[in-house]
Amino acid sequence: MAEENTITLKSSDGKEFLISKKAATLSETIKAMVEEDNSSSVFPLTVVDSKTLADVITFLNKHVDCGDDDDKKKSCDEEFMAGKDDMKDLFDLVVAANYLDVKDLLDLICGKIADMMQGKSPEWVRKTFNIQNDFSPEEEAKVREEYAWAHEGVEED
Amino acid sequence: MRIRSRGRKRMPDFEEDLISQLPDEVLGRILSFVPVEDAVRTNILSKRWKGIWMLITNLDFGKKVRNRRNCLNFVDNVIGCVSKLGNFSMEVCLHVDEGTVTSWMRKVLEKNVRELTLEGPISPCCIFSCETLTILTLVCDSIEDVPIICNLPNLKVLDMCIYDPPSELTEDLFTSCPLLEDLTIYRNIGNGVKFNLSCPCLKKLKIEFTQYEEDETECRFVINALNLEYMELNNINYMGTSELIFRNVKSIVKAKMGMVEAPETLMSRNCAVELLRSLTTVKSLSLDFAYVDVLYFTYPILPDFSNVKHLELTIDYYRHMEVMAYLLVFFPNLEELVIHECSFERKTNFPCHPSLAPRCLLSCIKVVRLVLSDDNMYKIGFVKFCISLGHHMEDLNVYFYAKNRGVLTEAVVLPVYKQSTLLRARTPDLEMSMVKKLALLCSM
Repeated sequence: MAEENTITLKSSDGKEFLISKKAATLSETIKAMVEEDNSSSVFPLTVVDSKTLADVITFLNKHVDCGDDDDKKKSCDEEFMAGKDDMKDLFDLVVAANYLDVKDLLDLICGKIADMMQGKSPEWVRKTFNIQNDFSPEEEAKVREEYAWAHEGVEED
Repeated sequence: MRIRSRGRKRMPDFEEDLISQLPDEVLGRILSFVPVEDAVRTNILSKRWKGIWMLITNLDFGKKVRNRRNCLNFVDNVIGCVSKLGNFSMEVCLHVDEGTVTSWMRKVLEKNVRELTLEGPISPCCIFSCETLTILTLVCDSIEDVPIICNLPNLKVLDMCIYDPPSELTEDLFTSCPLLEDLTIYRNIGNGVKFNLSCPCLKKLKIEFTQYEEDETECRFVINALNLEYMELNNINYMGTSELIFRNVKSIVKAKMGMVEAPETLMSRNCAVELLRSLTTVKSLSLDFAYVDVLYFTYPILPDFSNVKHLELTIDYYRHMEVMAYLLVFFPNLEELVIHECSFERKTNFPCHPSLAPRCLLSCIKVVRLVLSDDNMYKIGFVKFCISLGHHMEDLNVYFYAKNRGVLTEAVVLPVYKQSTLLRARTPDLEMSMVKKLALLCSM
């Protein structure tokens, strides 16, 4: 019986993770895989590494436990995000959440990254995320001119 | 400042620009969580970011839309550029031109918007015809003066506050939303307005009638909702000739009823009683002060509310005790009684004898919750009355707003404690001292 309710997910680096079907199918992508091929019990995820997959599985299991209780979900999410400050990890997670199509996780991580951008100048954002400004001064001036409406007038009086 | 990994061995990609490698749709999603101005400004970060902001799916202009050229220009540009919208929200200030708002809404509605919130002086009519909308919140003083075509085939939640809505809207709108589940109507007044609420899927209905109407208004609600489960009617005004007609409303589980004040004419009082009589299916019922007052004036014969397990009443201790005892007879299976007490006048002792409690209640009631407005001596009788309601009581909550602690503990807590297995007494600031006194009483 137990085997019917669990599946194995295999990460890109070959590690296997056992997870309940209920938790796994919170991911729309896995749900589609399982529906398409219900004879298999091992599903390879070629673009998710083991470290990230372990995180995603933690998230899925927590959300299954929360059921429909939104307050519980919120505190679970806070707990999940605590200490997740490493940008590489965040980006790996967001890519995995997008690939696996787990809306709650995607929104959670996107919200966290958005918090780092909110109310910040373009210069600050470039520095924080190591974004190289590859516009020539002329090009940048042109974009600024084109978007003059975006840089004026929405502030409070 | 650097936000980089600490103590991790990843030196080579230390300065790598990771965020720009994310797929477009993920960047669009991230920017949807950023205020619109900040999202638009990411345009000049680098070539990679040019135009990415247009993928945002949430637009919330909040209270920013004022009648200034820069501001209008900004909103105009943003709405023009964004290709697909999930949520849109905007609060328009009084002086923004009607035509401008209408043209914005036309564009927004073409972008597959599912949730729309608009607050402002005027609501464009095009809002009432959109195939993709599922949640709509409208707070407007009036409606654009053009013929209205209503077609909201996917709308599930509607929250509407419109001053003096035209009848062509109120009669057609709700029948054009076949999937509507949750409807809230506020402040919609105006003479002769007829609401035709024929919604087979409606589960939750809340109507907030206007409280401050001096003239007599005539409002007619015809409610035909086979699957309605929750109904809340506040400030029902029977002073005018408001009419509430229910058809096919047989599955209400929870009802909350409130009036501005008890009407003076017998006819209006009878209307209120009739409305109550029609609610026999409910499991949970809540009546406000004015509604209890109507029953105090009429002492009506009511049908058995045998499904009601939870009853909530707001009463005047001195005025309504007797009618409450009378009322409870019609609730033979009550398990939970919540009484909010608010006394306007102080009289001396009131004969509130436990014998007033109807016998039929003694076996069922489990929970009584009292919220007392003060610690008047005479309310001891009231608490005793509540205790007498049941021998099977598991939980008696008494919330005091006490000024005089001594009176409270000695006169009320002691007798209560002796009879109830579980007591929670609370004052806003004195909870702890109550608990200590209780422990003391317990050991005596």
